[in-house]
Order: sequence, then C-alpha cells, then structure tokens
Amino acid sequence: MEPSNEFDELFEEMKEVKRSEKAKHNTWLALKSKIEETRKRTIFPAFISLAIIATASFLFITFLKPSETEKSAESLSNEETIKAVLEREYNGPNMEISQLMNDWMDLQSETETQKQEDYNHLLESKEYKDFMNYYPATFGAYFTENMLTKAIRTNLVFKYNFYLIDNDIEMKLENVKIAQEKAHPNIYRPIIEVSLTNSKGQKIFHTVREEFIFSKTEPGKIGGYNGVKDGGSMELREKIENFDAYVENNEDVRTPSIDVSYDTLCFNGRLPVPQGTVEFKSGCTSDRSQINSVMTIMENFFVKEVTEKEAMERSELFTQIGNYQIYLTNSADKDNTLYTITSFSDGFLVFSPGSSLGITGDITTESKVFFYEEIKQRLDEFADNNN
Amino acid sequence: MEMEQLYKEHSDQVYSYIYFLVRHKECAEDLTQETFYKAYKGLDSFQKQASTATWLLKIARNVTYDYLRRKRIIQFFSFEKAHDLETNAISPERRFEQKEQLVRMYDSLSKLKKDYQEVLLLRKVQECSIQETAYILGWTEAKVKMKTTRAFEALKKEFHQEGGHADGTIKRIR
Repeated sequence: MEPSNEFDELFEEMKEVKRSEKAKHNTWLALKSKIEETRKRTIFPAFISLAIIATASFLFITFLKPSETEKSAESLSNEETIKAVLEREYNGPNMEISQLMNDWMDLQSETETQKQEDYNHLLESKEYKDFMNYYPATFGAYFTENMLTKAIRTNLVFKYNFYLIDNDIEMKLENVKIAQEKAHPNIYRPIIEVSLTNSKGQKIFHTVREEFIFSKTEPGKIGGYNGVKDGGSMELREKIENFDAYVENNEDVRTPSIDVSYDTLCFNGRLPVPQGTVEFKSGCTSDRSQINSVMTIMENFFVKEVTEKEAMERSELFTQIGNYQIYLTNSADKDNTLYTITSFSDGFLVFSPGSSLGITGDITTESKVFFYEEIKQRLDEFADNNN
Repeated sequence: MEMEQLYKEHSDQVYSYIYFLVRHKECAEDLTQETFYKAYKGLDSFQKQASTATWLLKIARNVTYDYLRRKRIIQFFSFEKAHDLETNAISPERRFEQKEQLVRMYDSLSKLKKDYQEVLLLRKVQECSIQETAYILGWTEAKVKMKTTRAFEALKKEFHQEGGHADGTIKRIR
C-alpha cells in the first residue's frame, strides 16, 4: 500500500529540474573526449610486427615439444603452477629471449628475401627455431597448447621484457597472494607485488592483479590467462618507462605518529563488486584488543608528506578502487573524528589529522597491498551489515 | 554512436536525479559525465537485468555516493537557491503560498532518515517503480514498500509540525 497523495502536487513540482542545453552539450563533449582517450589507451603497442607474430604462432605449434620444465611441472598444485608462471613473467629482464629475438631479427635484416620461398627458407633457420622454441621451453609446461599459442600471439608472456631492457630496469617478483574463486574453483586471481630497480639502485614497488583459469579438460594446465580490468598492468608499464618520475625522495620519510587520545575505532569500507555496483561496510569498536590488532598493522608503514598534486590524484582514485576509511574517535562523541587513516586496495595508506579523509595527509612510499588485506580482515570482524 | 544515443535519451533524468542529491549544477554535470563514463566502461557487462534507465540511475547513485562520501557529508534536499522554485505561471499570492509549501516540503524531507529520503526521491520524484527502486537501492521489493510507507508517515509528521525552515542540514555518514 502506498499511503497518501497529499504531497503529490509538491512532488510534481520537485520533478522540474532545469538544465541548460549548453551545459548538457558541454558535458557530452567532455564525456566524448574522455571515451576517446580511453580507447586510445587500450590499444596495445605493437612492437613485434603482425607478420612475425602470425608466422610465429603457426610455427610454434610445429615446434612444440615437451621440455624439462614440463616434466617437473606434472606434480605441481595449481597455486604452484601460477607461481611458476609469475616467476618467469615478473623476474626480468630475460636477456635470453631478447638475444634470440635479436639474432632472428638480424638474420632477416641481413638476408634478402624476394620470394615467399626465400622467406620459408629463413623459417628453417636455427635462429628462428631457437627463438620460437624458447616459448614452449619456458611456459609450455604450464599452459594448454591453445593458451600458449594465444599468449604468444597477444604478447601475454614476456610482456614487460622489452620495456625493461629499453629503460635499463630490473624487475623482481616480491610477493604473490593467490585467491581462488569460491563459486568457480578453477579460477584464481593472484595479487602480485613487484619491485623495479634502476641502475642507481633506486627501487619502487607496484601491485598487479591477474586472472588464471585452469582447464577442465587438461587438469593442472592453465587454459586462460588474463589481465584484470584496472588491475595495474598499464600502470606497471608506465612506471617502467617513466621510472624517475616515480622514485621517491627518501629524505623526508618517517613513521606515522598519531598523537591523539581515542577510545573508539570506526570505519567505512567501500568494495567495488562486478557490474559497476559497490558494497559498503561499516562498523565501530571500543574493544581495545580489536583496535590494537588494526593499529599494529599500521606500524609496518613508512610515510612521507605528499604534494597537493599527488593527493589530488589519489583522491581521484577513490571511485575506482576499494578502500577502508578508519576513523579514530571517542565513543562519547563519535561525530568528532580525531584522525583518519585510509587504506587502499592497491596497497597505499593515507594518514591525516581530523576528518579530511587523508587527502592532505601522508602517503606510503611503498606499495603494501598485503597489509590492506590484513586490515580488511580485522575490520570485517566487527563490521555491521546495515544495508 | 551508441553512447551518444544513450546520453541523449537518459542524461536529463540522470542529471535530475544527481542534482537532487548534490543541489549544485556544475557538480551534477560532472557527476552525470562520470556516470555515463562508468556506463560506457560497463556497457559490455550490462546484462539487461533492469531497464537501461534504471541501470544508469543505479550507477548515478553509486557515483554520487562516492562523491558525497569523499566529502563525508550527505546533504539531500537542502533549499538554498530561490531560483530552484520558479513557478511563473501562477499568481503571486498563489506562488508565495506554494513556495512556502515547497520550502516546508524540502525542509521536512531533509530531516528524514537517509533511506526515507532516498526511497521518496526515487518513487515520487524519479517515478521509479517498486521493482526499479529495489534494484537501484539493492533492497527487496518488500523493503521498498515498507520503507515507503514509513517514509510517508515520517514526512507527514515532519511536514505538519510547527516551524522548520530548511537550514541545509548536514549529516555525517556513520
């Protein structure tokens, strides 16, 4: 039953919202430009010619052979298989594949091929076979045949290698946390933390998310290997190519000091879920052991003052990524926030006195995504479901 | 272009919904843009489990809430600008009377619980059906019906109370 039409007339008046045609048009132009920019960014750089890739994927199948890694991979669990792939993908650069590719390129440059027969002859060369055999020798044990073909064709493997070499950066796999999907146990989504180090020994960190789908017809083999939307792979490439811009000046790094007296910890959690929806969580606790368990994790962070620009960029990400905002307060006056700490799912943490959400506060110098997961677990213990 | 068509058909409704939540024209335009950008990115995964308009309103709600949450305020139905109430087609006396009623209406709404405000905004101003409202708010249909009934009761109580001009009430999210 829907009561009362007493207010219908007033509600009717409230429907009249004026919007200028000019503003509407300008919003469309801004949106259009944003969409076009997004489209440009998603075009994957073709640094290997299409012809080579097409021929490579064809010939790769011909030369596909069991390798030493394949023999040792038979007994691996799915998690171990994923780690093996990630170790090969995220420790680099791999100079062997680079050398093999260069040899093959050099051979093509040096040899004149006027007819298809000449080129076919080149494809019988040692240089070409060595180059193409390297893929199955490195990844063949872990992927289904179809997936490996696809991975080579679309540059899913060794995808950062040429950028690492070009920019003289070393990449190291630091940590991997693998989550298995409950509803679809053959799908795994690892959170991958890598470090990048330049020739001066300066180091930065980055977190990437990927997806592995294990084959149902070939158990133990990866049948699908995908990037994750907004998973950080484009940003990793950006950091490799513009390393200097991301190097922190460690002179002003310090540990956070929260010099307020509080007895209650409250939080708002924002968790983006598929199809554009968002799940919100919140809760409060005055239990000292629960508070301590959250705050102890904070001690793992080092922080430094951020510039306004950095702070603005981070605040722009609020809508894109999951985060927990932790408010330190007193139970007698929960409205009065004394200190705010924001922990982001990409591993960043922002500190700020008062209630300004950390926007003008401090930010970690290193990515600490694993601590985010820990904080999340502790907060979930006293979350209300207040939908 | 599909997006252009989508924008032409639905942007006014999305804008109007957002405008009610933020009461600021430029900000409502920005959030409308953000809503359609998110829709563009999620278009492939839209399963048509709701009408396009409802789907867009749900995105608009998320986008706006993110914005409000970032500012850590919820400020619905604040009544700040006289030009929000232009009713030129009626006599000055009637206009004054109606304006006063409308001011009181905004004021009363602003004093309701947030979920009451939301359900009334969607059901009565945006004219969403019970099913659509349930989809946008993530509630069951029974909850929508129950909340609507209670929201009307609370609105009546507030509206017929003495005094009460809008003061742009700000409530912290807790």
